[in-house]
Amino acid sequence: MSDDTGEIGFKPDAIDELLHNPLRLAIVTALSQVEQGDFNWLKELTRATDGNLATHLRKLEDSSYIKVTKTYSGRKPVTYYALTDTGSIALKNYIAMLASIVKKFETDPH
Amino acid sequence: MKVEQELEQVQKQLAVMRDIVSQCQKLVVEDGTLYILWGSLAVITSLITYALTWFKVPVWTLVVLWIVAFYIPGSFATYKKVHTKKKHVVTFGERVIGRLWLGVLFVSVVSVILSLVSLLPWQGIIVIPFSIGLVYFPLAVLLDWKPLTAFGLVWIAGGAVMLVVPAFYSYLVLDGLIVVCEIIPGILIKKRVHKLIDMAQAE
Repeated sequence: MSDDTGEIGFKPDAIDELLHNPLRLAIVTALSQVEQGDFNWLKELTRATDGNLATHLRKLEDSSYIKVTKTYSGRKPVTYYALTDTGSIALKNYIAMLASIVKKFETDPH
Repeated sequence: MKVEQELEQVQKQLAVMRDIVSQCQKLVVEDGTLYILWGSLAVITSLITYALTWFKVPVWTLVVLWIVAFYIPGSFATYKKVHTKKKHVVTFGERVIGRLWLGVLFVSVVSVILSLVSLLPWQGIIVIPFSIGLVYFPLAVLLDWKPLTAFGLVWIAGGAVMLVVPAFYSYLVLDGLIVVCEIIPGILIKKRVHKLIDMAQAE
């Protein structure tokens, strides 16, 4: 429902700041579709630079949204990323928040 | 934040998610292919087995048939398909079918060995639907994945049917189970994902 200021309930404290960033949202969405993916796959999918992607992956890891597994492919080290339960719940909540905004706008476009 | 700004922000976020999901859906198409491949090989081999049993061929002939027509091409194709992209990404479907493949291989080999030493009749093949059902069902309940739960129950029910029908018809029941629980879902997965990709591209 919109109030006098034209707001429809997009409360700043209700927003998951981690997922509100488009690149982090893209990473979490991608990992929600697979069991695990490596850095190069995420880079290709999100079209991000190495540094930028690494920074955002670290933020997600620090918040326990994703978990990191380091392994070897032959002699080459490979780092796999996978979504945790915390990340999965956060993504569901974020989608629910987006849906509620759209629904509110549909019922009260003004 | 104004209504228009909020909606613009929501649309941007939804566009990001739609783009990523549509790219990832191509991976699921590959999973559908694996199901179709795996099921088709099993059906062909099982039908040949059914035909050969009418001619009362020795059991070892059927063992060789299953190894040559089912296990070798199936294992090779699955290994090749999974490993071509496994360096970068692992999907849920790949993991499930990979484990299922190993489980069925193990159970089948054990039942064939038991048949050869006459501890069980050749229709030890009945173990296959039960073992698949008992892998699918708890996995599906844990994941709260209703279609897989239903397939798990169908496999177990099919195993029960195979226990009561004459031995020769066991192969036909097994074929029916494979078509219903593997090939049809594989085709549906492929069709559905192709449709979603087309819709995403149209948008």
